[in-house]
Amino acid sequence: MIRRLVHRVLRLFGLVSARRHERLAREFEAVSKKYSQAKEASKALEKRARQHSETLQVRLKSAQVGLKSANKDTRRLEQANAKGDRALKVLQGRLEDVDHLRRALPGTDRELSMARDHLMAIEAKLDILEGAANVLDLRTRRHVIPTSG
Amino acid sequence: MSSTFARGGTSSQRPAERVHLPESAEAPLVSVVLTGRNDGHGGDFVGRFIRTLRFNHQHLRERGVPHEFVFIEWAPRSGVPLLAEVVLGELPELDPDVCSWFVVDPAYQSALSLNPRLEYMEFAAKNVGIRRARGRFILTSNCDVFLGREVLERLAKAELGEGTIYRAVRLDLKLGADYGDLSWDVLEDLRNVDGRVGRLTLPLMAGGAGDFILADRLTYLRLQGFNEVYRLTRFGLDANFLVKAHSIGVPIEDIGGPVYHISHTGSYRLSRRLYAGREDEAPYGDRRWPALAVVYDNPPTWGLALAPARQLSHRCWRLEFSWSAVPPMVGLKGIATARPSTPVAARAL
Repeated sequence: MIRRLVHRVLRLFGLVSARRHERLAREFEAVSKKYSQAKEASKALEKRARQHSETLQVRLKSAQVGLKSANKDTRRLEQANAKGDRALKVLQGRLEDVDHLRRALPGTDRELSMARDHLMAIEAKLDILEGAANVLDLRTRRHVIPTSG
Repeated sequence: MSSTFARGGTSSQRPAERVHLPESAEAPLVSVVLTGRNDGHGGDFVGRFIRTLRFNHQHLRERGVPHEFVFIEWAPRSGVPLLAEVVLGELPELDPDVCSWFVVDPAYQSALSLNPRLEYMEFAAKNVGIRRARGRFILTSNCDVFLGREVLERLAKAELGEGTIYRAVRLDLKLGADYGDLSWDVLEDLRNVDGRVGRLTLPLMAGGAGDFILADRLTYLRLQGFNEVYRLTRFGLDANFLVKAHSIGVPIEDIGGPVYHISHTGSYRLSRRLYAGREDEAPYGDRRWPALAVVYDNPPTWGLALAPARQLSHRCWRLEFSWSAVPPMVGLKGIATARPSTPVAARAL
């Protein structure tokens, strides 16, 4: 009890026992060491965080560029889509035309065949007329009496 | 000359004129219509004619086929004996009663032709024979064609339908070979065939048709013989006849065997290259006319139906010239488009 009281009185004057002082000094040293380690760890963390932040910022910029490009592509795709729609409509129109032409083809083919046949009949008739003209020409020449000038 | 008027027949469009025909015994099964003249066409014309005539007559007789040869000597040359005289002299075994000879005044060639270069109106001549043939069937052929075994058999069995045209593929025998003593072995040996062995193709079975078109007489009359409106060529008139037949629905069939043609110089097959690029100068006429696309309607006097006949000797007549027998120079209504159009006509374009 007395010992405890003495310690309290000494502590009032800022004095401690050597053993306690030694123990406190060891604790202080340990805490200082931990503090240094914590500070270094903090610096390392800070560095890593900064690096990470920089990486993220690069990625962000890249993503922003990508986004911008994607937006551009999207717009382009939308334009292409619209153009495709227009082309599709034109194509559908043309397909209808082709279908119409295909349906008309047999008739046209028949008409072409008839026209060709008529043409050949006309050709044969012209041959006959030409032949007759040639024959008459020859006969006439044979019968023409030459007149002397 | 005793005669009757008979066998005018009917055409598809107009009644044909009645033809002056000799009175004779029972009509044969088949009349073989041939034409030629003593002009040395293609070299030894007379020799080729005698060989084929002897062969065909012998085999028709052996098989008991009632037949006659109707020979049209078209526009004979002056200064040489008539072919009829030469052939009958060379073939004593030929029964004169199975022959009818018609010598056609050369003035008809001049009056009918619309092409001064055309030397011989083969199909106008054949029409003369068709109009005067008496057989139930008529075979129009040429003077250098041997009938094949299958053809003879079909005739012997009379396995022929009316209203049908029969065609036979033509095989060309090699030029210059000796066909004097002809046997089936020689004739049917494919090594003696010149060029490739062709085949007849539907619908027309054209190709060498001038060498073999067989049909009953009424079908020939219905078709009015060969085209006498387009008188500028003799090329393609045989195919044109088939076009007309096809156009009016007459079936065309392969008789089942070939005929054999003796190749000779001057034939169309061998000489057509000579006139490449100047087809209009060819003596057989221009081959470029649309024979596969048009049909014809001959005047009722086709086949020189109104030509007056004067008897020269036994079963030999001369058809004297008469303008009344000559059809109009131009008959444009006699040419029309073929219906149905033949696929071959389209390819010919």
